[in-house]
Amino acid sequence: MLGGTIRGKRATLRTTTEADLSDHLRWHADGEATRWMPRRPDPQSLDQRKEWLKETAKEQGLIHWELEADGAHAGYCAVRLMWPPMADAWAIESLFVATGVRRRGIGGDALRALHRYLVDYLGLAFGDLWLYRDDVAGRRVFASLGYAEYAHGHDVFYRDGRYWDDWRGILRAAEFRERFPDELEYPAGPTSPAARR
Amino acid sequence: MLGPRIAGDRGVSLAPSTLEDYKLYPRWAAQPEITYFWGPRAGNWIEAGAEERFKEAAKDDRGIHWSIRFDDRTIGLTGIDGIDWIRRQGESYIIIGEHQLHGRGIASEAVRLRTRFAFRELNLHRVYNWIVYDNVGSRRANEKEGYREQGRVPKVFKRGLRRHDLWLGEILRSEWERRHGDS
Repeated sequence: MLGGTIRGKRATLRTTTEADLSDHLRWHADGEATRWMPRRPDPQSLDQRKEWLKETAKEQGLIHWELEADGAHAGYCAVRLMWPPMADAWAIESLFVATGVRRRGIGGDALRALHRYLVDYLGLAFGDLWLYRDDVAGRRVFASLGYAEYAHGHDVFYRDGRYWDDWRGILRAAEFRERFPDELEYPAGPTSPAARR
Repeated sequence: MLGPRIAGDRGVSLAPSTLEDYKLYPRWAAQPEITYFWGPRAGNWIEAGAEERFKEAAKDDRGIHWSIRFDDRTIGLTGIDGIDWIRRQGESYIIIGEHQLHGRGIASEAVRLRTRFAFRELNLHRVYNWIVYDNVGSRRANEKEGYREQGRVPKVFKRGLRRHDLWLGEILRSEWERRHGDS
C-alpha cells in the first residue's frame, strides 16, 4: 500500500508517485548511501522501479511513504504490518534519507511522526526493528524513540568482504506514549471546518 | 527447490516433497494441537491451494523444501526459506503434522539432517529461526543440534489473553563444524 500524509515538524511523509522514482534510482546507484540498510536495494532500471511501485501499491502487508523536507524530496520509509491476527505490530522495513540532507534531524522527525501514526492512528501494540549493530547513527535515532535491544544476531549481513552482526530492537506502544504524550494524530477526533466556525 | 532424499536414524528420512504430501498439510494445520504455536488455524485449504503451494515450493530458488518421512509415510514438512545467497543464510521451518508422533525425536532427527545439508551441501553460513518460546519440542529439537538463542521478544505472541515470548535462534556453520568435526 502507499501511505497518505503524515506531518512532522520538519518532515512530511506523503504518497509516492512515479515522479519520485528517478530519485530512487539515483539514490540506489550510490552504494555508499545504502551501505547501512539491512535490506539493501539494488540499482534498477526505471521500468523495473515502476513495476516495483505497482507491486508495492498492491501489497496489503506493507505501507510505503516518501519523505519531504523543505519542499524537496528527501527520502522514503516503509513499515510492514506483522502477522495479523497473532499480533498487532509493525516492523520497520526501510528508512532512507538522501545523503545531502542527513544529520539535520529530518530522519528523526519523520520517524517520530511515523510512530505517532502507528501507535495513535493504527493502534498497533509494538514494533520490531532490524539494524546493523555498527549503525551508530541509526541506533541512536531509534533509541530516542524508545526502541530497546532484544536480540543480537551473529554474521547476519555481508558486505565489504566480511560479515556484520545485527541489532534487533522492540518498541512497545506504551513506551512511545509515555515518552511522547503529545504525539496524537487527532487529540479529540478530526474537527470539521463547519464545527470550527 | 525440492531437497534430495536423505536417510536418517530411527526410521526418519527427508525426501523431496510431492503434491500428495502438500495435500496433507490442511489436515495437519486444522488440528488445534498442531497450530497452537503458529498459524491462525485457517487458510486457503482447497486442493488448488495445495497445488499452487507445491508448484511455488518446487520452483523456489530461494528455498529448499522436504517432506519428513517416518516408517515409510509422510508425517511432516521441513525446509529453509528466504535464502540469501550473498549472505548465505536462511530461515528454517518444520511441522510434524501428527500429534501422536510429537515427543519421539522425529523433529530432532529432521533438524539434524536439514542442518547438515544446509552447511555441507548448500554451503550456507548461518541458519536462523523464530519459535514461540513455549513450543518446547520445536525449540529443543533445534537446540540439540546447536541452535542457540540470539534473543527473545517478551510476550508478543498472543493466544486469547495469553502472551508468549518469541525465541529467535541461530546456528553458524563455524560452530556446527566445531561440534561435528569430520563426521
